[in-house]
Amino acid sequence: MAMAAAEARVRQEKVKKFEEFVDRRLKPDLVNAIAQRDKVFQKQKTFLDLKRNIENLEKNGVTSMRSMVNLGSEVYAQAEVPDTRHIFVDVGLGFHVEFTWQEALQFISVREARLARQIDEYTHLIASIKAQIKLVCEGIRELLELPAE
Amino acid sequence: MAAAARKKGTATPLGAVFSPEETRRAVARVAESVADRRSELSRLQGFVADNAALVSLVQRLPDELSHEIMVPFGGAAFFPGRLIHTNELLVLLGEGYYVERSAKQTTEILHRRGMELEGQVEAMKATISDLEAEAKFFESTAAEASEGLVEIREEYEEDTEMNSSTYEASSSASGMPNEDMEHARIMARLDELEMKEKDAGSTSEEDGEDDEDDEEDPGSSEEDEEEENIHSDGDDHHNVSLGASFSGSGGNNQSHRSAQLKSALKKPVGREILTGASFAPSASTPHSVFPGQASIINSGVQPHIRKAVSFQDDDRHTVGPSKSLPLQQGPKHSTSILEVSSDNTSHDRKIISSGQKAFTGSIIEHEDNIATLQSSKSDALQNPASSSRPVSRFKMQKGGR
Repeated sequence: MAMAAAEARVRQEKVKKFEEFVDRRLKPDLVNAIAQRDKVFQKQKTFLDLKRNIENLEKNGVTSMRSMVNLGSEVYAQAEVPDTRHIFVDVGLGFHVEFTWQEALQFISVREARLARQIDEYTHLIASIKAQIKLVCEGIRELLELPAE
Repeated sequence: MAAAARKKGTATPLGAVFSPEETRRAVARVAESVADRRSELSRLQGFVADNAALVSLVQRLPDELSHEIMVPFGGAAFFPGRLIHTNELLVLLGEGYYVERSAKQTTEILHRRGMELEGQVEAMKATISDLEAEAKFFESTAAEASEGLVEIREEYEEDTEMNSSTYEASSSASGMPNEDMEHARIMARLDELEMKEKDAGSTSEEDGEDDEDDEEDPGSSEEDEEEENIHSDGDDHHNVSLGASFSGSGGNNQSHRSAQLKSALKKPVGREILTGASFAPSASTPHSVFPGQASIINSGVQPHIRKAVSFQDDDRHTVGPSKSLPLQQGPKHSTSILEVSSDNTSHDRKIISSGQKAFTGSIIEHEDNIATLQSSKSDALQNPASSSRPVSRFKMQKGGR
């Protein structure tokens, strides 16, 4: 009788530990991974836009253009670009490299491939975290001797 | 000692009321919300700093025709270029509406935004200090509870308060006692004033008339009086007794005024209005701020006038504009008074109602008298000539009669 009570208590403690693992470790990890992947998605989108814009410039043969520059707080000023053949592209870590259009497009394709790979990685990470959560939940269910769903 | 304490109040240890765990949790919760507010505050302060930087930028922008910049092209690329039309800015007003402004106008807009942000920052700071005070209170409570402090409570009982409350209860519960009391109070005041007048030896009022009047008041005007008591600024149309008509317009003074009014009304009956001596008592009243004899005579008219004013105020709120009316309406006014004087006091009702109609337009005198008599009406004193005018007309009417 005493043995059974002790066993029940041990089991209870185990369940508690598992639940804490899910709540304090796995779920924050999952949220974090999803946020990271969203960031990469954002980057991918900006480069996709850039590629499309450069292709547009190329197609239309635009050599000079005007645009509005956001000065902050949604205050815009007019800007003029006298020569659009040279473009400075962000290559990461705060560095911008001067490219011609073709060079820029090459760089962007490389960059896009890398971003796609990163997204894949994050997707896998998210899936594995989800799987772990499922696993631990299953363990808890077995510990409580509940019937399988 | 202990028995007395048990009888009169309760003594509970603070720790029992506020468990240390609960207070600790409360402190934690408040601290959390303080942290939230602080992050919000730092965000707001970031906005303020951004705004200030933008203001200085926009101010410097039109100093030159163009600025060499890197023009952003999407999120990840730049073109070498320059800013042109540096005095033309497009500012977002909100909801997707943009407006084209000069640099100076933009600066003004940004200043206004900055003011708004400052206000928000101040409000946030105030909230944070409030929350901190709350947290401090919780902490001190927790400390006191852990020290074993004891809270002693005792019901507050005082005889006078009980009396007053019962008095109020009884007076508000039933209309009749209230009325009676009110009436009694007014009558007492009247008697007092009449005594004063008699002491002054200047009036020849008949007590019999007074009694008549007194009898009529409760009989015909009880309802009105009650109304008056309930909504203190109710309309004076139905006022039968003068006392009632003035109970509408304010505290203890009004019974006094009504007394004055009554005596003034009675005086026409006695045909002694115009003798200066007859108004000596009114001169002894606090209202008589009039320097000369004429103005004392005027005080005999004032009650009517004041009444008319109160009608005006209640009904139309047009005391000011109709200043020129008395010239035409003055006669009417005085005729009504004459009616009063020719009739008897038992027709008080008629007097007042007719007076009310006649007086609706005639205001000049009212304003004057209000200015001098009712400190609540803060209108500037009118020229004395106009104040003497109605008196003279009244006198003339009186004389013609």
